[in-house]
Amino acid sequence: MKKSLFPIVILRTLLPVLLILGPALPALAHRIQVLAYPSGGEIIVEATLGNEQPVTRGSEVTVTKSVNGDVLLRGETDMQGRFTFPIPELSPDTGLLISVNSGMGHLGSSTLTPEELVKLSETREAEESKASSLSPEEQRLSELISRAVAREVEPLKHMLAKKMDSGPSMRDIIGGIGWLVGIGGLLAALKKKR
Amino acid sequence: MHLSEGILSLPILAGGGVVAVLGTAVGLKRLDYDHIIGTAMLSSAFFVASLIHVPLGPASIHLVLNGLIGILLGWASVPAIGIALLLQAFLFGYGGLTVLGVNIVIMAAPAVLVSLLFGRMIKKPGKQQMLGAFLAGATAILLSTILLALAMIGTDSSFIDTARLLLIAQLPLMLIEGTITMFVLSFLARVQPELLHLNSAPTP
Repeated sequence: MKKSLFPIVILRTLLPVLLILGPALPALAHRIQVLAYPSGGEIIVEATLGNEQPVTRGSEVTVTKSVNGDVLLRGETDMQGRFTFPIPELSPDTGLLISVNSGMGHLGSSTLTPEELVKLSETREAEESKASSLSPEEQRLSELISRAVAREVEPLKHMLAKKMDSGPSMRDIIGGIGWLVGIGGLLAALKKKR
Repeated sequence: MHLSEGILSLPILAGGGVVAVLGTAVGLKRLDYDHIIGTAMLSSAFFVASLIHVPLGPASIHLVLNGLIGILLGWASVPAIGIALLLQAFLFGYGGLTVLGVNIVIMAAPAVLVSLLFGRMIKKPGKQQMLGAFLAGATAILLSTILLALAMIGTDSSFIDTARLLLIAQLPLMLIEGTITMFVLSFLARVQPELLHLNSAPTP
């Protein structure tokens, strides 16, 4: 039996197949990436399947308190895989756990730490107290400014999300193959000794 | 077809872990020296196959190749698939450590089963071989989907609707995998027919 040819043949058969199909590589899925960030009094949740492909419409979003796991609210994602909800009133030591379940066994989650939330509510309170002492014109101005800032910052948040969300890199893929071949070699060495 | 962490209940996770460990032990015991590197190569193929996406309507599905691995490796497909899944969990974040056992059972049990069901057909040349390969590829996906659905339903019976949807969604993949398994096998049969008899090598 020409056993020694086995690896070579496998290599010759499967490698071309993989190389031909390789260009399809970056289109990954099957892992839900959840990004949650505050924007203008609301928390925006974006869920993607890697590479900006949004999760299926109507994926279940659950917001729970990080302390005791109480469910605060539930909702469903829209066409873009987004879900928005107002920042809830919470005690200062409570964070939020936001999980998205697309069904079919895929689940992803993201946490907002208490610190992040506290900072938010503080700035909001400060703004509110300031707002009451402002003249109507100043109030309008501050509103315009906060809207403009939100608009400018949005793309940055997206860029950040995209970076987090780049999926398996070529390095991971090749590294993984290396591991597998290495483990094979190790096993072979161990079995030969016996 | 990777289940994420935090979905399944503890008994199912534990059960999956135990079955996976036993299967891996049997697979490693039956893996003989001459086939180790080939097994590692097929393991790599499985590792990468999940990254190859076939666009299908609004969604995309990825290849699994567990049928092909099953008919070529038999019991050795359990460690082959197990290690690949472990690396996918570490490197890509697919699945996770706690669900690793269940995921191994979902992918590898069908591989072993199709090798028992269709292994003999594959060794006969001609049409029967082609048919056997197609059936092995398709059946492995069907069985994997059923196992996946069972794991989900076992945790929470409200998953039944999702499971039904999942089964329908995987039907095209069954055909695709069957076809790919058939082509790869018929190619191997022409180039290196000995490969098809790996499994029939005398086992203890």
